[in-house]
Amino acid sequence: MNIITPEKTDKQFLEKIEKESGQNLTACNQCGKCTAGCPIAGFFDIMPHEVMRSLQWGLKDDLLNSHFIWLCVNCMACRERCPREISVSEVADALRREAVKEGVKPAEPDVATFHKNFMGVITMNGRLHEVMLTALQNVFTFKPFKDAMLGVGLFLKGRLKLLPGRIKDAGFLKLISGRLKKN
Amino acid sequence: MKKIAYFPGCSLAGMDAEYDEASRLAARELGIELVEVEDWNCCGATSGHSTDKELSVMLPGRTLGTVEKMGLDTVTAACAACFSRLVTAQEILKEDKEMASRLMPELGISSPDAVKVLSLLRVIADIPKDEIAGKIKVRLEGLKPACYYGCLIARPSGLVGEEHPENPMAMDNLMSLTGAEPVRWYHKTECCGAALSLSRTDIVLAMNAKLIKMARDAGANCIVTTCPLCFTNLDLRQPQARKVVNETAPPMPAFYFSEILALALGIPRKKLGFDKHTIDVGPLLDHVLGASAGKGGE
Amino acid sequence: MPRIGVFICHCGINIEKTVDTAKVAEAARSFPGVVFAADYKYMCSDPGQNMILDAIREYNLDRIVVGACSPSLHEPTFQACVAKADLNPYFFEMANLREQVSWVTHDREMATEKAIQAVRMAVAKAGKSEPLASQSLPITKKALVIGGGISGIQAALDIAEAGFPVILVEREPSIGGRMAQLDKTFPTLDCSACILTPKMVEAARNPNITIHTYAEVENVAGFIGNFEVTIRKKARSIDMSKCTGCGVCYEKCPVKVPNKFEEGTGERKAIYVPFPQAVPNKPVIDREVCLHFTKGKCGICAKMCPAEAVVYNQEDEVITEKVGAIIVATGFDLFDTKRYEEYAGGAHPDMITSLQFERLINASGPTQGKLRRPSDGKEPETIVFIQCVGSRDDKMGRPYCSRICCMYTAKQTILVREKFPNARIFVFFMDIRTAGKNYEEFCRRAIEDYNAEYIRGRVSKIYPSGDKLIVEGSDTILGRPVEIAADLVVLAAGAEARADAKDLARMLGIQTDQYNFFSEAHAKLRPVETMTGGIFLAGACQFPRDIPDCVASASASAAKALALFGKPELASLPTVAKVDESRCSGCMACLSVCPYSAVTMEEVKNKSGGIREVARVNPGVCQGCGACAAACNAGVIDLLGYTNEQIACQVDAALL
Repeated sequence: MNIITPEKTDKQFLEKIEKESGQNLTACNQCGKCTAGCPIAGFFDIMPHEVMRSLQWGLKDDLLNSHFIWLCVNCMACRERCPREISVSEVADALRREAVKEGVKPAEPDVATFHKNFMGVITMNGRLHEVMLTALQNVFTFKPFKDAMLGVGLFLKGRLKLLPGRIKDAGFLKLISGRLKKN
Repeated sequence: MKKIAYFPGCSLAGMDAEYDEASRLAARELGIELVEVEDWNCCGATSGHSTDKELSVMLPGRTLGTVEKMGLDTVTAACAACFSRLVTAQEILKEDKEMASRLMPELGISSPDAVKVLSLLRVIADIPKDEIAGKIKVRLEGLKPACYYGCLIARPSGLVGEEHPENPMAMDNLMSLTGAEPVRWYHKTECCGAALSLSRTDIVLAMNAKLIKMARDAGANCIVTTCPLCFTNLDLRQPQARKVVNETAPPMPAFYFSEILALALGIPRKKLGFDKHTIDVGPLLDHVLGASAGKGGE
Repeated sequence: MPRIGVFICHCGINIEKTVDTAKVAEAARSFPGVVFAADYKYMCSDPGQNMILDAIREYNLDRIVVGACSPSLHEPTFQACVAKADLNPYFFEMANLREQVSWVTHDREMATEKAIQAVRMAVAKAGKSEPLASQSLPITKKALVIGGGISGIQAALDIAEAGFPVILVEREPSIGGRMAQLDKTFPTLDCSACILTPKMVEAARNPNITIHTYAEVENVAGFIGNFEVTIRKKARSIDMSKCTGCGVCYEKCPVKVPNKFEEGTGERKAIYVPFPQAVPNKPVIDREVCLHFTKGKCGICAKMCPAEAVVYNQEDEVITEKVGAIIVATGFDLFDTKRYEEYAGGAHPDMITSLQFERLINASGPTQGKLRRPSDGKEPETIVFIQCVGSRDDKMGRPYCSRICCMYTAKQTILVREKFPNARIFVFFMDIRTAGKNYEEFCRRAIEDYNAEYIRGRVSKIYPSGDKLIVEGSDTILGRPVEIAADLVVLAAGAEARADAKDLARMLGIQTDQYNFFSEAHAKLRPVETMTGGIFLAGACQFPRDIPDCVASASASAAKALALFGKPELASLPTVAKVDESRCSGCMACLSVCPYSAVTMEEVKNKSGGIREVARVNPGVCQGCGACAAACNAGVIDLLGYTNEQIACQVDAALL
């Protein structure tokens, strides 16, 4: 049954996200300007203003299982125009990190895989390597030939470097991979 | 020559080497030496801040520490995402005293704003107009760029150093100095879809089809960016975006702002990586440079 | 030795909850001079006051100290009480144990200690009190009204009808204000001009009202009942006694500039009357643009005028007037919608403000009431109204609700529907606020009978595409983004304080709030008075108000002025500053700090026969602020009721 009751809500979650995002979540008065200006609102399951409302209720599960948290690209249009000076962008970041921490099965597996691969590549080398990242993305999302033609084109134009660059500071690599594991 | 620490970032060291090259050449012509940050590492955009807040500070934080060690007071990034992560790390260190006291010694940062972080666009826009105008060797009349700033160089205002988040003018003013005629359009800071490029390509294609249409409707014959992610989405993925909306109008060439600037400053066309663009910029450049040669009597 | 009685009030539980009042009374019994002390539930009640009277008789008390709430609330009550027992009211002293003690802490022990200290200080001060009396002052029974909009006109008419003279000062060339700019009025849809112009004419005709248009108040001196105001009548370049208002001058004038009255939607000439029903219906020359003044050429208006009324060399006239009361009715400014850069970069011909809309749909406006797209003159088929533009927006520094926009937007949708039966009319709103008589019903009519399509959500972006404006909004009820291609966009611009409100406040010595609106003396109980005696507020200069509220507040402020004029004379303040002239060195430090110009320098004779200058305070003008007493280098100025000796005793008692 999809009825909200106070017992089903988690107010501590509101406080947690408030702290983690640095935003005053109760300030939202649901004007909807964030949704109106969001360039990808048309692809969301929960609209930005609904995210804010869900947080005010403490609807933790709805939020952590949403597509929204993976699709928000942090363009900050909402942050720039919000009449109450709230950044939904920071809220999305905080929710995404919370979902990772809690091991929630991501609603957008491809996006989650991307972030995972990305972090994997940079903790290994300290730098990103497009070929490696794309290859990993395709392997882990079971789309081996996605963007293959683009890749061929890029290769022919000499834009792809086949070998990754790596930083010299091994101590730092250890430091960041330690931090990543801690998560 | 004024020395500024330069953070190329992964994109410019990889797929977007032409942006790196054009930026260094243009800066040098304008009296600025870009000193590459020693042994720099990835800024973490955008997966860093999606994964862990502390990591999102550590990654760019190391660069801030290195720049201090190099004895330089300013660091610039040509890539908008790298620039954004650098300023955001400073901001978080300023606000989160607890995290700052833990991370700053480890990263070699003496104070959160010990180093000034500027976008490359801002560095160049801060050079007096007359000085730039005096160095323009090739006038790019006939070039009608839609200056596309994207998100991360314009927002959040107050942090990034651009005055008008909805209608920034730094790039437009630079383009005007080269003789180009930037168009008035309303999507200068609308998002390109950024990092969804690999994971949700469908969304990115829809967003870019709209941006290109808006630029074209405004009368632009090219689109000029400051960000490798925007460039990839607008240039590399444009053929795909065209298919999605069954576009029949001719493709829209895309450039990096420093490529245009380098060209106007007299860097030979062949030295700039125009052949690496996906959308053929040849005919447009022939037209613009041809006109310029005719008028300049070279 | 004085005989002091101390009374500690519980204020129900307001004080008693945090302060042990019995213990305070007990402590007071040991203070020097105290012969009686008690505590009671409500000292301000009749039984409480009787307790004081009985104690005065029984113990032969001659000084009374009450520890209770703020003196701003009940000092007059207790002063009247002791007067009943034939004690001088200034033998009464109050210690604030509520606002300054019980309401600021939960710590009963420390609060009780602080209360004892406060009472000890009050007792010490009371022991040194002297009897004080007021003098009577005359009242100039004439009012000044600043601002000739509906509020100013209404206040002026009310005072004039009661038989007192009024000077009405308006800075524009005509009275009428914002209401003159409007087309129809909610919730009755009667024509704004039709109900306003009779009042304008009445104001002009009333023998008790003197109207100065194209004039500004330049200085205000004096105090309640006795103000002296300086008014600059700007040179109109017209001899008002000769001009017949025939209008041939502005017909022939070759200079065209945007008309401020039309909010830039129409033009006027360099010599002009702002609108056809102007009062007075006589032109002014705008010297900034007139060719005669800018280039020394032209002179057509003077040549054409059959009455020879054009006077190019007319000069500003500065007059002074004595008045007893001032009503401030300076109205509001419109929020500058250009600050929303996300709305078409701030400006687009087909994106207009709500006030521009009023002019464009008004039959006497620049388009004769034919509403067309400003860009190409086409009939609009899709019209989007956007509410809260510059209201309820912290980012713009305007977190407040402008109160008038919901209703005028509903009205504007009805006006559009009457002209275009087939148009689609959309309204983006955050909340519909229709708290007023027949207001909600009116708004429902707009939605149900006139088919205005209301969408709950703010608009994030507007941009031109082809000949349309694309409006990107959201429907928060459905939870979906909305995109509308509009022909015309109307921005419901919020109301804000006049840009120069702060300057006027400084001149008048009144307060402003954080948005520069003028502050009332008490938000609930003194809503049209200011903290400065004799100065009252009317209309939207205080906060955004619609016409009925403006008129009501104007009449209320007139009633306040009339209550003042109804008194035969004013009692002066007894607690004024007094100079010990024998010890004054004439350094004039007090002269420069007095905000009321109450200090003058007077010549007195020395014992030796020489003449020297000393400061003297005019007790009728002094408002008892104490600035001079604090500034006096020699410490020879006392503020009566708060003498240096009394303050020193209080300080000693505090340090005990």
